[in-house]
Amino acid sequence: MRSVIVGAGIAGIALAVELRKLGWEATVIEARYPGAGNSTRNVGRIRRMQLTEDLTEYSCLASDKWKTVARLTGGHNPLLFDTRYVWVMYEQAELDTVAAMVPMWKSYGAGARTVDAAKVLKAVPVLRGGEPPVGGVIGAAAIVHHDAALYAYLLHARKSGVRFEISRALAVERTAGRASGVVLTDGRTVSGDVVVNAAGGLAGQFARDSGVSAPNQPIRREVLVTEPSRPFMSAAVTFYRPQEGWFNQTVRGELVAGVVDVDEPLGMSEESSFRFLGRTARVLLEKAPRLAELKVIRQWAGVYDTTPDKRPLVGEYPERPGFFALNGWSGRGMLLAPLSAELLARQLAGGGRDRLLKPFDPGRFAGQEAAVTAHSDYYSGYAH
Amino acid sequence: MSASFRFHRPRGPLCGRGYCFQCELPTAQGRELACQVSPGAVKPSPRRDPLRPLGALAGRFPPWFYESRMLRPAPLRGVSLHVLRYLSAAPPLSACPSRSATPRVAVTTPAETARETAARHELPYSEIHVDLAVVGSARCPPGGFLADLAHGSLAAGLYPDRTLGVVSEQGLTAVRFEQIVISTGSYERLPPIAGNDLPGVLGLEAIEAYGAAGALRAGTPVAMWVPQDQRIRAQACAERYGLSIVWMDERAPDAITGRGRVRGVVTKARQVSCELFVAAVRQPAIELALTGGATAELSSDGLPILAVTSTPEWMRVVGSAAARTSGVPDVPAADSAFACLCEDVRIGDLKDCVAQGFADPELIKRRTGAMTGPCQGKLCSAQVLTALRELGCDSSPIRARPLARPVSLAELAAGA
Repeated sequence: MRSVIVGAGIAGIALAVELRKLGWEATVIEARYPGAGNSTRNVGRIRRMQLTEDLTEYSCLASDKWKTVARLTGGHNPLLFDTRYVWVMYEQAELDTVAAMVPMWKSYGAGARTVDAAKVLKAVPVLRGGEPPVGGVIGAAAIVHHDAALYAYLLHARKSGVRFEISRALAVERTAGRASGVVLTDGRTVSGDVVVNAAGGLAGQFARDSGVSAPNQPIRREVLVTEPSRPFMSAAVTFYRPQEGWFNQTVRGELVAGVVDVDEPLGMSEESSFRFLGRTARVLLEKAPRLAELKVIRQWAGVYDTTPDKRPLVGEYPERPGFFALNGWSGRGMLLAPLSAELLARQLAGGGRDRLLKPFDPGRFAGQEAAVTAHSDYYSGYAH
Repeated sequence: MSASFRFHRPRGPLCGRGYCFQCELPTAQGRELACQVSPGAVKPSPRRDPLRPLGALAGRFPPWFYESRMLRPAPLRGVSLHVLRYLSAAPPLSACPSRSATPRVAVTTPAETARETAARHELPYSEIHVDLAVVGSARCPPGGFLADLAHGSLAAGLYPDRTLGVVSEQGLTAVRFEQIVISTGSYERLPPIAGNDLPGVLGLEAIEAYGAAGALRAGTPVAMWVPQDQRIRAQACAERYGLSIVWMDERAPDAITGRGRVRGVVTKARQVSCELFVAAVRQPAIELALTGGATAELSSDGLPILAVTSTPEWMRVVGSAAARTSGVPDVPAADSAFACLCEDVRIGDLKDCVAQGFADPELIKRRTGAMTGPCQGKLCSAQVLTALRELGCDSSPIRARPLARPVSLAELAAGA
């Protein structure tokens, strides 16, 4: 069987690798270069705990899948760096919200627990002298070097006979109502028995261009990176008050950080903005004043391909048989892509649909007035 | 002197203007650029670095050395990455330069060039001119454009929505404009020859700055690689500071020799001893233009440089920032020469990378780290892209992003 995969990011290439293992042919279509979208515009955080049960279970299994990537790709090192996730809280209400989740996290092996302020400061000493936290959550996590991980998959994909077509995909071609290939902007068509939409930030647009309704919308996320310094922290830090922000130190020693604009509009944009620099620096130094002298050398931006319920779309689009979604990561692409690729590959190869994919059905929004909200607070985005 | 992150190579001052911040030295006031501190700074004495032997060993492996290593034994994978983090020669957090000593960019005389150009084209502009030509002092007179803001301020980034991000003592200012004239000058273009990483390889402007600071020893033998139109300036500089020119040519030598510092140059005809190698070949400083949406490509005449080829209608690039050629003959690149000094990437690494199928500037950047260090490709882009072009690959510049120069978080958080 032949598959055509749109998008040579981590999801598309991982799927191609998994399909080749099952004896399928795979052609990956990429408009720019492998990883040109969010697979190179992310910080590779692999976090186990999540705010809901389904996402926590899936994230824990997805984290375990990452540990097998080196073997899966024939001995390529994705530079998976085991560390801790430190979720720093500045309001008692936050702590109360998540305290109720600890037993759930425990049942899935998320390795996360709530801790007091002293433990937070011990885990992340650079927070000393900043705004005092009320507590936080410390959980097991990893940081993967996104380029190393992508290239591990890429090198193995090339070796295992995955074909790469550097051209822009226009839309899905259909024959008798069924997806039968992908039309390229240069007029050619790549034919296949199934088409998979792994187009990252452009996935929603590609689905709609192909005549399928899809709720995903890209929303920009910006990042700054500093010059390297000797290791001063290993944890991945996130906070949601006064607004969502995060920082960690990379294997090379750079600090990467970002503070989200609560009024960030929906839409595809990979441009950096000047406002981001001041906002991020101010909020960051309120929390961690010791970082003051680090010099920012670059800023960049990518998008979250976001769905209304912040869960991915993995499976067949109900309106177009033969056309499958592997997108809508809502900021968790690096974490979820390898496992999702494996499960989708098994489904395509006739192995049945895994129960884990149930919450991620692409048709779950049919007939609903579901829309992606750009302005929602992080916690409210997961309220049931 | 500082050491390169991966190989722990001693790094000397090069541009003397803080493009990569590799030549900062501790001083009583904090840290300053080497060219502004005591005499003798041009004679680098590498600090004792216990990891230097390990760095030398790292030099035998390509930048993607980890690819099939550090995987076994499996339980130690994570540990080996933790260890790897501690092997970098990056400075500790506490030793980062203090804010007060951060070199400032001052507006200087090329403002005249910008003003004349603006007048000639009769631009209906609110004009910002920020010049990166002189760093590290506020002794230059204000340029006269938005005088209070421009004096001692840094144009950190130009954004495609026509915002100029200015960092100054007052904090951040987003300057909106109708037209912009960019006269950001130029910096050194390293010769792609063996030994181009040795401390003692310096730009002509850096030598002039050292001379002015009284840091040059009279009688020091220097080799000078200069285009025809810079000969008089180079000779005048040598004369003024009593340097003895032992070799001068527009053709780059075959190699720069020395261990730990420059000892001589080798040409086909002869071998000459010297203590300094001065490069007067310039690469236009075009990063501000590129982040604003200008395009650039490698020049095709002589030694390639990255030159602006088109700009948005609201942007003009003038002066040496708009140079189209290097003015010196091309020179074959040596595999052992460094393309990227920040991340220790050699020309040979680039060739290997292309041979493995990573034949695109964006892929090369991510696979080797070239163009991602503190200088953000200022010193290496032209050379990396030249190597790609010679191998028949795409050689268009990587996506340009702010900032034009490193700025501390404290400065970004100030004001407002």
